[in-house]
Amino acid sequence: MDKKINILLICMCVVLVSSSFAGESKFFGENWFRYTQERYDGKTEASEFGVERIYLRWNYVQNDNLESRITTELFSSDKDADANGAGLKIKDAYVKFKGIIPEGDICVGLQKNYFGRVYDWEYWPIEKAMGERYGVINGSRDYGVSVGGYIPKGYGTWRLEAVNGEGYKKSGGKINTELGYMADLRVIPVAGLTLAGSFIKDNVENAFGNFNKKMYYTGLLRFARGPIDVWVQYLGGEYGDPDDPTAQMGYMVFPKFSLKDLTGIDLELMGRFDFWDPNTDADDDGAYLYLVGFNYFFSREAKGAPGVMLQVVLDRSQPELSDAEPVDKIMAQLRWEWTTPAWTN
Amino acid sequence: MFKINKSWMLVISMALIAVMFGYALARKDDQNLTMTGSTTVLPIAQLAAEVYMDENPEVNISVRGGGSGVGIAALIDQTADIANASRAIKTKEIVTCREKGIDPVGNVIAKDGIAIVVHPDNPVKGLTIEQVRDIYEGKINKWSELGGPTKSIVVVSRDVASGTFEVFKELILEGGKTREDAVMLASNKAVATTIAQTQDAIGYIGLGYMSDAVKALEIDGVMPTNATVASGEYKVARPLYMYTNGKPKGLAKDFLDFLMSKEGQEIVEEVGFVPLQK
Repeated sequence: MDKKINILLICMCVVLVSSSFAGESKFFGENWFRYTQERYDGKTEASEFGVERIYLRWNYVQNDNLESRITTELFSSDKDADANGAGLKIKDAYVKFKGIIPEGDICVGLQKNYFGRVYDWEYWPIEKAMGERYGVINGSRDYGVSVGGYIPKGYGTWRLEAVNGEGYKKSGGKINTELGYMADLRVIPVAGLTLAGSFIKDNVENAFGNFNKKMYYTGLLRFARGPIDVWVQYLGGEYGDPDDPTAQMGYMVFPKFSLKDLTGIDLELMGRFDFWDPNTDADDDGAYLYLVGFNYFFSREAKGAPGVMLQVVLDRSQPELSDAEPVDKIMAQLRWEWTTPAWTN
Repeated sequence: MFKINKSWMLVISMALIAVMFGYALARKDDQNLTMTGSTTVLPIAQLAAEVYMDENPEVNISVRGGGSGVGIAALIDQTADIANASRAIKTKEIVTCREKGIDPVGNVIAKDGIAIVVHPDNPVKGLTIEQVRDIYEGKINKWSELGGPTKSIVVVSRDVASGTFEVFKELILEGGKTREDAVMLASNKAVATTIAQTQDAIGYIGLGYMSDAVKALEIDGVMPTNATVASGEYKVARPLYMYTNGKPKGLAKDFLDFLMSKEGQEIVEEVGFVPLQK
């Protein structure tokens, strides 16, 4: 608990000291309050309320060429015994240097993982993005350095990144001697059609002190027009013994449909279908994810006004093995967010 | 526990996607139009909407301010049909638009000069761009350094969501930052009111917000007027935009056609901005 208090005190000091700097500040808050019921083989395995996330973020723009972000993540639920009432993590802590690369930046610090769509996944179906859900990357953030920017005229984005590879949740673990490398390219040839691809190469130290190979690639197609938003993603790669790695693959289809224009109600319907095979050489070891749900917006966040939404999802994780029992989950989440207007100190 | 048949799942998914596509393609424009964004463009949008609705009683046009950034965000979220902006859209915003299926098209509807204004009793008549920059960056602090009284300058600026702020930063500050003690206000109107009430203040507003309550300064020897902005003589000027998703269609096209007509451009001039055509 002392560690948490220290982190909070440091954050408060940083914010207080910053008020004497010249620049533009913006504060952001987000809260996810979730009910989860999980059933397996006819039995209720979990039925619980929890504060899954509280994000408190401070964006500080010193000038056109220098900006920084600090985000703290708090959570409190029965799932995390170590949290002891409330858990606290630093989620973002980076500085971005702009003006060095045309239409781009160099980002240094604890920052987003630029693999697949983990970096701009908005948790519309509550569940995580593919790369994170299937353990290809260890968390949505990592410590490192990245270089990236925009393709001229808004035709897309690119980024190269070097990270520890262990994710932000495992600080204090083993000292890493092998960095992970990522590359991400997103091209938008016409409005509404996005083609994206990412690559990650990382060597991960295992319990025996040897390094496991980790190399994944992903391709994504997104089509958005009016009320329709459809994502299709393929994920594949190799993991394990460098001389005899295990091949893995999976895919996801995620359609979302807004009823706002049709009914006047700010409601989105969605579905998601995943397949993940952790070892392509083994039979019947894969799993399917079937998901249906909706997002209802009580209000949308706009310039300081809070956005409030209700998310409801039913999902089933169905093992590929035909006689295996599925795990069914119901999640209902109230999500609340706000942003202050930017102001100059 | 039921088992999901994969073939049925595929059929249902395909049917759902087909219905969604059918609906999206069959969408019809109705008689409502929503405009959000720049407070500079607001007077043009408001008066033009009033006149257009008088001539077309079946149409309902909603106009809101908030700043250029807010307007473009509303276009991206599809909560506005037109985003009013007093600056060009940024690359970051274009990427977000395109990814979400929005093709932002900037329709220039007028020109505007950014007038540097002071209280009418201030004896200073003109400044150079460099002097204005020095004032806003905190290098010049007293009016006496500019031939005025021995008083401290009260610097008034716009908040960062403002397109006027972005253009001012680009044309005057050349990317530099405003001094720490500047008063940041949310609209042109608020700036004009503050300058009118504060004898030692300096600020900047769109030409449409000029009145006898404030005094415009000559910049590099040129007074900001409709004529000097139209001729290009006055350098602190910018186009004003109405952004639409793709080329304007339906009601948005009718409204923009009206705004670009002789009658619409007269409205632009009436509210104090520079029409694209006489």
